[in-house]
Amino acid sequence: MSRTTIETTEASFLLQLSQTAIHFEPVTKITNVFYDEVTRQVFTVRSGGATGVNVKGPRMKTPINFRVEDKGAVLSIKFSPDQQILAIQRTSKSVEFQNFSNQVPDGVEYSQPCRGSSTVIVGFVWVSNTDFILITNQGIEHYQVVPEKRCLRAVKNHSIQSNWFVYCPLSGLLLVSSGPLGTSLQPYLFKNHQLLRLTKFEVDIPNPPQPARLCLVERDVTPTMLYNQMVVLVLKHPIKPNSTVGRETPSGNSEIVVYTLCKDAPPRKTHVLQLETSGKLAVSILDNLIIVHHQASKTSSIFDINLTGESDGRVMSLHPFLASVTIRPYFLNIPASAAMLNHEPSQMSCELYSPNWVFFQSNIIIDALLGCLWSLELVLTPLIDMVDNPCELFDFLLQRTESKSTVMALLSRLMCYSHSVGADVPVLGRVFDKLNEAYRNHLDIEIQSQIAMPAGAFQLSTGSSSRRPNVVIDQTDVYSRILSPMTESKPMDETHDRFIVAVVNEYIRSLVQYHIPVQHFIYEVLIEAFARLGQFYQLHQLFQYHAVADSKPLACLLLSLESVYPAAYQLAVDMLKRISNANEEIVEILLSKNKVLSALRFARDTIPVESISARKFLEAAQNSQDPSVFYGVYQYFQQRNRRVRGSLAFLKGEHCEVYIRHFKLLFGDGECSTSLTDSLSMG
Amino acid sequence: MTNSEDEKSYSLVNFFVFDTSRNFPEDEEYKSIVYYYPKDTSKDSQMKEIGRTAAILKFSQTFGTSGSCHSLHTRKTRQYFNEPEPGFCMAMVINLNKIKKIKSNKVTLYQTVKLPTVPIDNDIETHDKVFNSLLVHSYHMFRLFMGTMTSALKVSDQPEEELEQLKLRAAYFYSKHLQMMPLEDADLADAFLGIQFLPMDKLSFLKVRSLVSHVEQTFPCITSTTVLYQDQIVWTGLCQDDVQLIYNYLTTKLFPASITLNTETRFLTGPADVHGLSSEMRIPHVFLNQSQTVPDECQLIVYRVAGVTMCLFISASIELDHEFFVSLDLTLGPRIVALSADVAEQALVRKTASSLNTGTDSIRFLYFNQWNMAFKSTLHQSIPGHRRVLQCQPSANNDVIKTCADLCEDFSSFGDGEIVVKTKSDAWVLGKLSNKRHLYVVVTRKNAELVDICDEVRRLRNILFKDILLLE
Repeated sequence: MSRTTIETTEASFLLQLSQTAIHFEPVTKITNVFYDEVTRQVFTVRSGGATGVNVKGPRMKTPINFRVEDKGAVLSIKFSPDQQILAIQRTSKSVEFQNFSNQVPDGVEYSQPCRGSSTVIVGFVWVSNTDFILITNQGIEHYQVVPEKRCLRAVKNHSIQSNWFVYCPLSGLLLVSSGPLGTSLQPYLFKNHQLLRLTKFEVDIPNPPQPARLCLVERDVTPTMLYNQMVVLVLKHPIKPNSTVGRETPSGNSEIVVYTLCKDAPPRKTHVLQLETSGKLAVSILDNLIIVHHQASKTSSIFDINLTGESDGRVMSLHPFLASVTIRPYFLNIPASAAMLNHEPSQMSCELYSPNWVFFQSNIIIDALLGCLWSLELVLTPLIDMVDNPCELFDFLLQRTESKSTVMALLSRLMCYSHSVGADVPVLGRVFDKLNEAYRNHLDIEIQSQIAMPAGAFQLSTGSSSRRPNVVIDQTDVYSRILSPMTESKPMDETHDRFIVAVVNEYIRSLVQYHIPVQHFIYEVLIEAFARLGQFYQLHQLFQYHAVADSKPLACLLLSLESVYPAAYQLAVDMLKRISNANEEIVEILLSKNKVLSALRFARDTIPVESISARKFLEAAQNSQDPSVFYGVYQYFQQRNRRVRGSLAFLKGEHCEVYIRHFKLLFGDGECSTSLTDSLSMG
Repeated sequence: MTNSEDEKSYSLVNFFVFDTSRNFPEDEEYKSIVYYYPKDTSKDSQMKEIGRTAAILKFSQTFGTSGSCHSLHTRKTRQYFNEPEPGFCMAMVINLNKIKKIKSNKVTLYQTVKLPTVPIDNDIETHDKVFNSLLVHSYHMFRLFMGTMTSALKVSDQPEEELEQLKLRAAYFYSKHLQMMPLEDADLADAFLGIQFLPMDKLSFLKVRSLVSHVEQTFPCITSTTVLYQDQIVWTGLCQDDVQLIYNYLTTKLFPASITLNTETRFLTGPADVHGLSSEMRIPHVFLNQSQTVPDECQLIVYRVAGVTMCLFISASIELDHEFFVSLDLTLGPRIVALSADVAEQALVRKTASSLNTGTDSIRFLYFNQWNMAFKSTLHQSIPGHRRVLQCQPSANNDVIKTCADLCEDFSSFGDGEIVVKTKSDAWVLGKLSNKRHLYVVVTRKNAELVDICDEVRRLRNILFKDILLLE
């Protein structure tokens, strides 16, 4: 395989294993390995702990190493979340505890047996630093650990016949299977140091085996959080035609049923994910996505429950958004010495989807034989090439965290594509609608957080975090990354400009639809494109319908277009009229057009009479070369002076001396020449 | 018209187009006549008229101060002249009919029965501006559908043959056009030839724009699109001069003609039946962008659904097959239907709002913006598919509209300003021109004084024209 092909294919892997794997000692006869989903720690226990316990995890900076006395084979071992207390289970009757300080055990063990003599411990879980849950075949025992006194205080006991349990540390949801089939699921929610019992629900199994035996197992049930909703995923394998025939390949495909837990209602079956395959399957949860791995085909399928599928009114049936995705090949670094010795490449390719892989929640993969722990990662960039259905792709990307660069890349891709393929105006419109919906939500949250009182601000921001969009593409982004390159790069031809007009129009339409004030630089792109096309009358209509929001920068832009499109002047002054504080500008424009009397009348009606600059008007009147205009303006200001200050005279500060002289020159001293005044009053 | 007090009327005496550049032998000069109405006029009379017109023009060109003459007033007639293209001249003579004359009428154009009242000479004054516009407009419409007169000339040694094609075209066009010429009730609105834009909010407008982009992208052969709702323009991609004519054609000819059509008919021009396989097509060709050296010849397809009309202009060189229309219908139909609900709602809201604002019958206005050709009038009543009708107080109709036209002519010599006059019929007319915006407000209120009128007008301005700068 040549190097280039590797690179091109590499570009299309949507999933990868974390670059830095956590290595631990593989499972051997004397070494046991445990993984705790709550703390995400791997425990390597050598000879019952006597020769050492090694704890590593993706969240830990340094591994913890310690020894415990070998009191028999360890069945389970878990730290409290703050790593202050270690719980070890060696028998089916009790759990032993040891306090830690500075990652060193104090050597004193204290024990907690389960209730009842016939009771057998199924497992245990740390739900907080001091809250400890013991699950037995008879019930759920909730204890409060008091490390100072080296004892446990019983808080509550829920009695239930349990087969197995699963716990989701994200939500604090504990799910216990009961009943002979194991299909009866009892959820408990741990909240505020209390374990609440929620409504029980039943997973329906068609054709339950006779006689009854456990047919729903722990690895097929995954409680997790998706889009801030507690859900339970139940993997259902296809029904075997006849259980007595045994090992016959089952017909049909597996599916995952999603049960959504609501606050006040029993869990409801909301989605069915069509896996389109069957066999050995495992589930990872990553960035609110459900990723289903199929071992036989060594592929994964990606589901997003927020995308629309076929709904029968109650249950949404979804097909994979992305099917047959594979994990990027992973290479293990072989220690330098070993490589030297064998003259082999220092990297070894690692078998993906290996039978030794164990999947843990939410996105942990452990290869127990290799002694590696990875977290699964999502790579969005290859999606840029999949533009068959841009709308759905945007729906998908906008829900992901850290997808902004991909969204932007995809958006600019759509813009260049449009000449040849797809991406027609309605599609772009829908894409903009999606972006702006998120943008609107973001703005709403901004506004709320500004309005909210400082004390309430924290609550508010956490409360509305569910709506906070992952990706916000604002107008500056669209301008600088999309529109500006569009207007710069291509050789300008008519079709290209028409396309720019269509795109910007669509973008503005979408912004307006979501009540987002459009920034003037967006309009400028549109105006410039229309100007390049010479479609000024079309531009005029845009202003006529106020599709362009009024602003001083745009009024100035319009004024600059007057030389090529005279009507732009009218548009500009109309716009200034609508802007409440632009009366001075209108006066200036009118004066520059030599409309001195119109300007004066306008100023008289809109500007406080004492703040009208006499000098400005007199100067313009003098420049107009029309003595009657100068006379009228001069007289007006004299009258104003009398009204405001009780005297005809101008103030020194008004610097009107030169015009007073000009007036005298034209009309004489004070008393005007009768002939002229007569003619003026006639006119 | 229900107006029984119509005191004056005009009739078309003749209308002709002739060539002035070619030299015909003395006895064959009649061959320079491109078109002459009435058809049955003797060659001699035709020649006399044309000779006289040529002489008047020559005379005015030689001795006049400002170019050639546009109109000539005689006691009984008004004559209008226009030289549309170098080498061609057109003229129209209007008779000022006095009632007495009607009784012994030789001209048989009249259908309206007149009451025998004694007319006052002054009242039957025509408006040169209005009638001149009719003449010029008749040429513009000819040019729109037939191309320029020069373009119809054939290269030939024989001047007669050169004109042959043009004569055919002129006959074809003007025989129909003259019948429709609104001589009887022509007014200032005909001189302005404005466009009525549909008032709507920006979102709906942007949606219409989005639809236009979509259509033009899907069918790249479409060079320009114009959208109307009922009789009002929402968007046009044409240049101003063209849309003025197209709008006039649609509202005065095509729409009224299609009012009898089956409501199922979507293509007002194009295939008669898009679903059937009949190949009958009726697509008018129009000549756009006359300012270019070679105007664009386009096919005009008018598609109408749910009150929304889309006019699509496609280059004449492109052949349109049945399939094109089917896919056009499939693309446009659903989107227009979806849009029309929006637009219709807007139209309704605006209509009720504006009727609330303008209030009473006693104050009416006519507005025209020369910059964008926007025209609006409450002096007129527009009925979709029909020619607008004056709806001022009946007794004041002629008086008022004439005063407006007078003021308009005054403005054309004075420039911007404001004039208030009181008409004989006791109505006040305020005329205003500000930065190419014409506004005429008519207040018919008993015993109103100038102050009241100014207040009324200010009130009207604050309601209707608050968004624009109308200078005092």
